[in-house]
Amino acid sequence: MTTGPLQPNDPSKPAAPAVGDSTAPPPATPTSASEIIDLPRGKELSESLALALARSRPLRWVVVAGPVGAGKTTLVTSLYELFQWNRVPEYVFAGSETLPAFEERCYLARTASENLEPETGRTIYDPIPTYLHLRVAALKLPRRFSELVFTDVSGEMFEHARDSTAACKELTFLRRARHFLLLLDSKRSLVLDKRWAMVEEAKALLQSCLDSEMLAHDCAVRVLWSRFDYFVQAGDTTEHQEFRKDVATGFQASFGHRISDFKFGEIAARPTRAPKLGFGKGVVNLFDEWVSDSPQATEMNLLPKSGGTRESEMFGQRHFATGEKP
Amino acid sequence: MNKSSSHQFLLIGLPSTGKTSFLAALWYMVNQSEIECALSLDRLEGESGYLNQIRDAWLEYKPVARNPLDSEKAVSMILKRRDSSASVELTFPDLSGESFRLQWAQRQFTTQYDQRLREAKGAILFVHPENISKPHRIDKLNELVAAMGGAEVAQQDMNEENAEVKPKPWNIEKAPTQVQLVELLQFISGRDYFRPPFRLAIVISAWDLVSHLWKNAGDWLSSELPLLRQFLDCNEGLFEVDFYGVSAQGGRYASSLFTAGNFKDAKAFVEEMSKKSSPVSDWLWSLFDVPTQTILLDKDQTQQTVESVLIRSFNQMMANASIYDEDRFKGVKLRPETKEIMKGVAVQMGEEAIRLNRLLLEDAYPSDLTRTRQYAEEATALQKKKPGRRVLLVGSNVKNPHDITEPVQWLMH
Repeated sequence: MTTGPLQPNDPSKPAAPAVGDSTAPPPATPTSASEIIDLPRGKELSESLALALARSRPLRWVVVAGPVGAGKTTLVTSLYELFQWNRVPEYVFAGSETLPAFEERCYLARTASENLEPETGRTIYDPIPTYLHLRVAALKLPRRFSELVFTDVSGEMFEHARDSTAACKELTFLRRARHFLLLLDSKRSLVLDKRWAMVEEAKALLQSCLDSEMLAHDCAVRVLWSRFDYFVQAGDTTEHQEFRKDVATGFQASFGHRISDFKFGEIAARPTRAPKLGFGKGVVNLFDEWVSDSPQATEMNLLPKSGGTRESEMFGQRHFATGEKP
Repeated sequence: MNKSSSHQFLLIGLPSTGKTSFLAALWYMVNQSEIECALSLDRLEGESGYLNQIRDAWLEYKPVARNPLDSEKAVSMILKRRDSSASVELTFPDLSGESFRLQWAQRQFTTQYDQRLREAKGAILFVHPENISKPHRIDKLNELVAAMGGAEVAQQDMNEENAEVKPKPWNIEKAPTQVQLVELLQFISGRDYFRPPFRLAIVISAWDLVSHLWKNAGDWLSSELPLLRQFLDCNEGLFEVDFYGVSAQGGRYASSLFTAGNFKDAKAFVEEMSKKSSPVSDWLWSLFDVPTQTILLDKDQTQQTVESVLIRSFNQMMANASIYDEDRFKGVKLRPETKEIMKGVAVQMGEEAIRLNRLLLEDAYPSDLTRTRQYAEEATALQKKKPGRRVLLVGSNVKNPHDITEPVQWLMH
């Protein structure tokens, strides 16, 4: 498997280096190979590493779906950025198995990159999914951790799933999803001759997921207007609001009876077009939903908790040490 | 002879965070009688040359040489408790900051470190308040620029330059300090032999630089490295933590880096250098790329601009390694102080190299460069203090603010 390289959303901009290739040349190794112990690499989790993690502790799986450029990665990294500055009310950061992966994804939006405008590198299509991990704790219950695992997959993967229930059935992470987020790109919604096609594409994806029976009956489905700052910048006119209402009505009519927990929402993870919305607009509300329900340990028939050791890391150590790539 | 109980503690920290300075001050303080420390030297046993060497540098107000990666040392001290006279052997593997940076960047431990971690009963984690990298976001910066009335200018600049600006490639080594430190702690807690809770004394070094802004080290950490603070707060089952602000050096030393005013006439200096009239000038001029040479020789440039280019370039060059070369400095009359430093063994890197290089340049250009140093007044004030009074600590459990052994005592309890 190859890890998913990132590229800026705007094709006119220079491409970001591929994940794993983008670090500076490694400095000289301090000692000979025989004296070295490999540590967890901290990159995005492969399927096997994510499942190994799931065997060691109850996880909350969050699937972020949507077309290319809708802001899937930005949604997830914005939550990580909020923790960087302790801006998540009632919760604190407790750890992550994928710190370098988060860092790489945040980089083009940081001043260290010397970019003038914040960007998120585009996740390149890879048929094998990868995941990002975040461990958090409630301030009032600091030793009670919630483990969140987010899909880190490209929009193309969901396009394939939309067009084929067979392809959809290959997305086994859908079965594990406790939260399924379907993003509708607000920017595209402002383009009159594109917006209804975008809506139908999203509906087709949800239909495919339901018809192929990949979403569990208790999976919470959220259809989100992502990059909502585009609507705000455009004045969020009555026409815009009616459009969104029509879309919501259409979704409700098509899927309301098939999904037990189905809601619409708005997010502006990095609202550069309307900064007054505040960084991470709507993200904390979603996060509150993710951490307030119970994780899927029993439903997934996972092994019991191992007693707090970092199983996935040890899994990683075992395999990386021998050169095997899980 | 009393049988010693033994404790091994790790000194953890990224490069230039004050680990060796702490060790140097500790070695002095347990040997002196001016300040009553809870731990004092019981007896010498084995090798103490390295400890004496770093202590002497500390006493001479010289930057303590950075510990290179290939000469990491484990130092031992046999101390006695003042309250019970019980003997205690303390071992500190003095690991280089570079080795911790490599842990984050290369995702590897040495087996030697792993063994020391296995044996350690706790650790002191060092953070230097002037040496942290924060995860600043572009959107936040742009907001600040806009709030300062620069929105239109910023937008205009963006439109004009955006197509030309290429982001610098991501470099894992430049990740925020708090992220790197969290990962180092996750590496520790992830070892199969890890037995929580692991005692961790968090030391904010050079506390004198921030003491006017912060009452205690815990608050500083919450504000400046909030991700690390959150991690520590909710993982108290893994790490038992106490916070200290420690000024082991006592204040700033005079800096050998160039600052404004060190070039008497920057444009005249450039002119002389560009003539390549000596091997040193020839070599220095060759270090500038052609665009920079063009800027430096541009008659329309101000003294201030030329000086700032020289300062930036020279400071960068001086930090790399000793610039001394016999042929290059042939004909340059070196003053005794320069020759004295050149006898030292640890001048190939870090602060000592900067100090030597500054002296060499001053010797090569005696009439062009001033010998004034930044922070010289602070350094003089520091030298007037008795050595034992240089050390200052704050912390909720600190009983004696001059007793540098306080974090160690806490680890031992």
